Amino acid sequence: MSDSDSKELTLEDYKGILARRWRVFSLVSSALLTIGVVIAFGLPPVYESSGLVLVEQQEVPEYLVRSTVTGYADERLRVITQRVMTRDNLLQIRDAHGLYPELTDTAAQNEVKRNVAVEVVQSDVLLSQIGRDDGTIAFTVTYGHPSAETAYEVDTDLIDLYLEENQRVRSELAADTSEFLDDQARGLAVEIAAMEEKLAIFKRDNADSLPELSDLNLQLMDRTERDVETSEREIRALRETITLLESELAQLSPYSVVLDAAGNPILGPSDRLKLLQRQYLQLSAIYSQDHPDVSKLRREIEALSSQTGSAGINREALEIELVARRDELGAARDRYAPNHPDVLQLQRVVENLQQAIAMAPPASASTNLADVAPPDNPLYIQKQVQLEASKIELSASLGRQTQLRQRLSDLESRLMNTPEVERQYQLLSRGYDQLVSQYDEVNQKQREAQIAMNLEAQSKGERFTLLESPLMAQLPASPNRVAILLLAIIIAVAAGAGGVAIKEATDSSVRGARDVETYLEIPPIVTIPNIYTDADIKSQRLRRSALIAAIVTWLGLTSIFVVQASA
Amino acid sequence: MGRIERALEHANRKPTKEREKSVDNSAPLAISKEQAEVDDLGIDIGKLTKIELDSKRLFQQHRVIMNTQDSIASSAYKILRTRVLQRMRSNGWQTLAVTGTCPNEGKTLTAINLALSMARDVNTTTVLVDLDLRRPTIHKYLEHVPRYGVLDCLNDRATIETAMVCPGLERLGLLLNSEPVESSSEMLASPKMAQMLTALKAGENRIVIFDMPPLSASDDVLTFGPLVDAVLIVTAEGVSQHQTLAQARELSRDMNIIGTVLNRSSDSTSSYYYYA
Repeated sequence: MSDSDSKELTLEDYKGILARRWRVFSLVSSALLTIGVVIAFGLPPVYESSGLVLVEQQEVPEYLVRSTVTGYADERLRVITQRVMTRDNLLQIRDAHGLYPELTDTAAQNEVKRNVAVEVVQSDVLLSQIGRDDGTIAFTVTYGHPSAETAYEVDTDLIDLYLEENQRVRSELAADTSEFLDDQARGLAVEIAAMEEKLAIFKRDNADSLPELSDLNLQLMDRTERDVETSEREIRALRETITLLESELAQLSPYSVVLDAAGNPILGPSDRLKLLQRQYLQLSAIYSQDHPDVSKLRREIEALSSQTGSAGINREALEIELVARRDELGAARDRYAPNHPDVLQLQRVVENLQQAIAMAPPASASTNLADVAPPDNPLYIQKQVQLEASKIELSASLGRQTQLRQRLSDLESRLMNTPEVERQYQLLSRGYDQLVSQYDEVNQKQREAQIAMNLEAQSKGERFTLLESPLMAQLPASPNRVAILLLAIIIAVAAGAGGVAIKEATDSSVRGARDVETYLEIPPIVTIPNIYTDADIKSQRLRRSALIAAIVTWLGLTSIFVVQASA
Repeated sequence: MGRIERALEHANRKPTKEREKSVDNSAPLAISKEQAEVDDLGIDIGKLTKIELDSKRLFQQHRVIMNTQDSIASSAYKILRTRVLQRMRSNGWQTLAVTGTCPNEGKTLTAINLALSMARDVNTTTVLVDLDLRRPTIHKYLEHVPRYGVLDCLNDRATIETAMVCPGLERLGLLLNSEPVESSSEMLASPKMAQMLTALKAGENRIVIFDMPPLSASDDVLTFGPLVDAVLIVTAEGVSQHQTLAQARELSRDMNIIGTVLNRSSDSTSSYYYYA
């Protein structure tokens, strides 16, 4: 709005603006410049001392190399810094060097913290400095203070703190880890023992059904079945043999026949006795005991009995006969009338037998007809022996068969149990394996921790080394006076220009013939310049002098200020 | 004697000594007798009351350029005079109102200096009238309080001849005013004013310059505009606002604007436009 429509300013225009607005510009820029100078030279200097600490690591995992090392390092450094910058430590430093006496504890602690800078040195920088880039990191600890000496001393103390802290922490950590792992290992060992016990018991209890035996068991079963078959065959064979022998024996007379001169067999005393016994039996049924034939027989039997030593009158045979006859009698009584001749006869027989029995000696242990007289027929004897042998064999075979059968069922049940046993066994086994592997892990860690502890003990593990110790600064690190000054100049000029621009923008008065033409639509016939009277000239000169004086004063004051501040 | 001889005679008689203060009309003037005779139709400048003006002082105090002291400024006024005269002559205009767009543009000073510059032109007789009835200031610039002023003439308390003065420059008459009035536009519209106008511009080669208030201050110029032949608008750098200029343009559309002047210009070289 201040110039022509075209908004382009010619050199003439700029000159005009400069002539008009130099006051505004000067005022604004000099004010700001003054402020800038005051700040630049008024700020108290801060001296910094800085130490470089190297962190050497024995092993760096592969995936933590290069770019990520810094990130990792930042993190760890932050942790360490937090441990070092405790309230106690900071206050201790404050007291040791008499820092910030005017601040409260909390404020002083914060102030100390604020003036400390801990930074990781970039790995490429590190490479150039120490010629190594294998995962080692380094950091600087810097302290700033208006006094160079104090900065130096405090920085030294801080670095010492770092070194001590590192040592302490790592030892503790290693010890703690070791202890913890010990506990773990012990616990696991106990559990493992218990588990082993369980396994042993289980194995014992299920010894037969163990899966590893199942093959064997199958085989055994197989064999046993075959054995059972074999024994069955044996038994069948033996039974057949026995039957055969028995039938042969039945056909054989136990006594060998002694022939007299006419070729008739002669009865030995035992044979005779048997014969007589048979006769007695018959006669006892028919006749009463008083009959002479019966008594004669009796006498003869007794004589033979004492001769041969075997039993005389066979009571049992008599009793048997009695029973049979009694039955007959009963049957007859049923059928016939009591006075039937058969009934009467049978009655008489029963009575006779009863009599005979009464007269017979008490029964002896065994009166087996076959035992009365030892057989003397060799063939009979042979067969009898064979028979006995076969019988013995048979019973043995039967016994064995029973055994085998038992065994078979045993094996069967074993095999049936095997899957269940297997399952349980595996369960236990797995549990056991887990424990064992945990235990291994723990042991591994334990070993590592142990190594770490040992390394620490020998100070060969990761450690902080002071690479560059702090120096007392000669020159202050801040403020950067030149930079502030330059900045102030730039701002001053910019603000001045800004002020001018604003003034120009808000100036809606006529400037130059062009404006007249624009707004009045009639270009001026003439432009009449300012007319300067002597008074005008004088006052102009005065103003100029005043201005020069002001500038000189300003320069003078500023210089004095600067010089004073730098001193 | 021929006119030329008479002129020469006069030229020889041109005084280098200080002109004595006198109240009567007896001091010789630059206008020749013949011319004075011609002016009998109008106001005879030679017969006007003479006043003494301290040109040095007036310059130092009020920037009134009576002699060519300030070369740059006076040459600017000279250019103004030339152009104005040229235009007025070629159109036969005799009356010029000098106005502005707002107060403090130096319009009165411009009128005064223009009149003074015109007075140096041998072919022109100039009359400067202070027609800023509400705020007459020419007398302050010239440090001369007139005995009789414009108002007196308008009120028939004096004749023009008695009210007008001559400031020691031949060919320049001044009709000043020292009494401000409120009802300026009414007075300007009165028949007496028209009569005065006629009387003032009577005579050959007569130019009458009226110093008027700014367009924005009152409607004096609007009222008087139709009565004059031309209007000159004065603007000042750093004083006139764009807005007021635009307004002035509107107000003056029906007037015959002879041109504009940019006053108080800070241009080191005076730039001027050829008026196409």
